Amino acid sequence: MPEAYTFYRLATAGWANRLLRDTVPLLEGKLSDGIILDLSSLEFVDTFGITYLAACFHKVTSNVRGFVRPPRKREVNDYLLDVGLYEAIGIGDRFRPRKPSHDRVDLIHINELEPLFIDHLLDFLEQMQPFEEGLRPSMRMALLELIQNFAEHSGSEVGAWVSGQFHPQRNRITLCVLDLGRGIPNALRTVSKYRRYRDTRLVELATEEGITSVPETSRGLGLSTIKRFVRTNGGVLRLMTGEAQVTFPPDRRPEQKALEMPFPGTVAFLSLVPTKRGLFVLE
Amino acid sequence: MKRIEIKKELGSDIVTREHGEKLRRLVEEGWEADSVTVDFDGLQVNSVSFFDEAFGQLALLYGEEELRRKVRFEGLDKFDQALVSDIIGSRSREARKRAMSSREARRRAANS
Repeated sequence: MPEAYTFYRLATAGWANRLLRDTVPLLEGKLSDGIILDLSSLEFVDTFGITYLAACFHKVTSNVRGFVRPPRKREVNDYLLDVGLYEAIGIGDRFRPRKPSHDRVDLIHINELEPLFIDHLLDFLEQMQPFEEGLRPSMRMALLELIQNFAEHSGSEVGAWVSGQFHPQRNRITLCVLDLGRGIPNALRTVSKYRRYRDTRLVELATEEGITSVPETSRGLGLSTIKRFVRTNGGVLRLMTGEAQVTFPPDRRPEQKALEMPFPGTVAFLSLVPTKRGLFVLE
Repeated sequence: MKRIEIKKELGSDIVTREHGEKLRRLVEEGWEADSVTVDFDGLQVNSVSFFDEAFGQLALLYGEEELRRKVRFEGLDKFDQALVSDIIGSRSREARKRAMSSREARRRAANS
């Protein structure tokens, strides 16, 4: 008999602990008879939730047969269809989409750094809301860097998942890049001087200039540049990896939070103001 | 004078460190010439990794002043120009810090 996993009604960055509690055992478990992913209670999903669900399903169903119990709420199911979640995890035929009901979100699965995908995602978002000067190249820079980090350091078996969404009511764009690799703390701990640091400290360190897990090379500019861009934009950068969730608000010190369940990989979550000038490197 | 046409040498999708490393080697091959012109021909690069591997590492090695004297950029858009300057600036600060700490280490060794 396939084992059923029931998901909580909120799959969002704010409810990451709950989502991880539901899914980490699923990722680590041995499921020989297949699995039923029960999304029937799902009521709200954000870009973090959608990318995480996609990566989880992809990983689990690469070993065993997966079945999905779709959300009871029709608009939530429509949302998952429009985003392309079912298609992305290879069960699209069972839930043929009707005409998409909205078009403000996109989900991409990648295995290597492919600029065309990023351009496609940015075109898509720019159709929803024209960007201020410099924002598009800044966002492109951030996505390229996050994906390059995934490709170089994560060792993720299921590739990376990228999503972007425009929220008209809040005038925000959210971008999420997620992998199920070894995570930032584990990567940095390969350097002996960082071995004893806590996960939250390591995540903060990773966003400082020149900090890298490959010290014999001169690297470590990517995350610090992204952090500067997001802050100049008045946006928020959140990194979730290992036991750490660290949020970098634009005008305050970083907020650290320990996750109840270690995140098996890395999530970078950016919330940006599309109508704010984005040429941060000229500031 | 050496001229490097990026599209011809590396193609249009230049975003990775590997591409940056190839460009750095091409620039270094022409280092003995009076100047090296790198022509981006309107390409949008937007990649920290690429620019860092190409020009950030040159700034570490030769210093900002020599790099700026030697290398000329053509066809870089406004954002990429600013990004390159930002990266060269970061790596130059790093080079100065390294030089200071190695001077300090030598001074300590001499005193002991």
